[in-house]
Amino acid sequence: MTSPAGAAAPRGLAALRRAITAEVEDVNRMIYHTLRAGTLACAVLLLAALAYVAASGTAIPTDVVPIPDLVAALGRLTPAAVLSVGLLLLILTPVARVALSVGYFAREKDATYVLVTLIVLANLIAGLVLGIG
Amino acid sequence: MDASQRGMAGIEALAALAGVSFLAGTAGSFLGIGGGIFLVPFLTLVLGVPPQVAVATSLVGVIATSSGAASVYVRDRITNLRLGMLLEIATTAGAILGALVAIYLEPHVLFFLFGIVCTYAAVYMVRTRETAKDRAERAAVAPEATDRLRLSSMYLDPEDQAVYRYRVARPWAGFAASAAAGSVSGLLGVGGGFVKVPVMHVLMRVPMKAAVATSNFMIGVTAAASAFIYYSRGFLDPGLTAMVVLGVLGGTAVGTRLMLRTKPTRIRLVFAAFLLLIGVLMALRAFGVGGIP
Repeated sequence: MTSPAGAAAPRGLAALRRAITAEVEDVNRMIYHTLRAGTLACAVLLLAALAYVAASGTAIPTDVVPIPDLVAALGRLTPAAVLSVGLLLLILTPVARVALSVGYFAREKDATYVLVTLIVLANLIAGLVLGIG
Repeated sequence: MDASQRGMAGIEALAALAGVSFLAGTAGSFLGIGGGIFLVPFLTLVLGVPPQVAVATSLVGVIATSSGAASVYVRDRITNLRLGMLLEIATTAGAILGALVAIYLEPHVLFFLFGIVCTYAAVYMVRTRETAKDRAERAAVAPEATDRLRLSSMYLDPEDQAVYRYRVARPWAGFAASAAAGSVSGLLGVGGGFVKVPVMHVLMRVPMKAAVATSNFMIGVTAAASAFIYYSRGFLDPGLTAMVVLGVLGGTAVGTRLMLRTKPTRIRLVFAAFLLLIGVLMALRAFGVGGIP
């Protein structure tokens, strides 16, 4: 075989992926961006807080800031507050993904999956309320 | 909590924790599990962290594995989103039920049963070969519920550049098994990815890579509710958790690339070996040996 298979294969792969992308619905894109944004924002905040702690020579915080005090602590930009917000963002990312999926399926008028995602969301909230998860 | 409660949490300990988290993130994203099964023992046995703090830290690590890996698998369309969302009903409801009935159950019996189930699934996965006939069968047979719920899907495997189209078998049996998996994972304090992958792959005949990706997608949701509760109760140590999260996220970048490039049969073998290990540990714990969750 003399044809440049190495060059041709990726183009074929990209074409195949586009063909699949066209057929599989685009809730994928929304979920990808949600998960990506959540993890990136968390990583940036954690790295920034740790870099500040390392540069200033202060001790690494050992306690998260309680949610009611979070806004005030964030105003003072303490490392504990920045770390806490970063971790909370990460924890809430999957919940946000479920909530946004409800909206997506509602726009698509896909009643079955609106119901499915709403039940998941209700279970999550029930778990939180019961304090068990 | 004061710093002494972290155990030997010096700079060396934090660096070691980040390293272990990196490995947990790699293995977790490669196998479709959360990685808590590696993190909790390291935190408690090596770093001497109190169990509740270890579980809280590990749960956030599970979310990091899930979100980090799932974003890649969702982008590449390996994840079966509808199947994942449907089974999330079962796993989240199961987790609540499991927590409610936990006090009535004898844990030793549970660990023993669980050990048997894991060992059986491991043996099944090693003995049952993925054949062309399997793939043909997947493409041909679909129960009515599968069509109604539009669970069938397809993906492009970058390893052999082939398109795999598949239908989901036994949707209701899989749903029931996922509810059981959710309740058991609530009882044992683990994410439960090592139950979800065999349920989808062995019971529902979902291809291995799609099962791994879909399991990774699901585990974050179950862990999120519990992690939020641990946060509210003040069990999270931000320094430890930040190390775990950053290590895990780095690991998922490696694990997802490895998974996409590996032959499904290899992933099956690694998963079977991992299941066998879990099965033995669970059975041992049934007889009161070992401090592994």
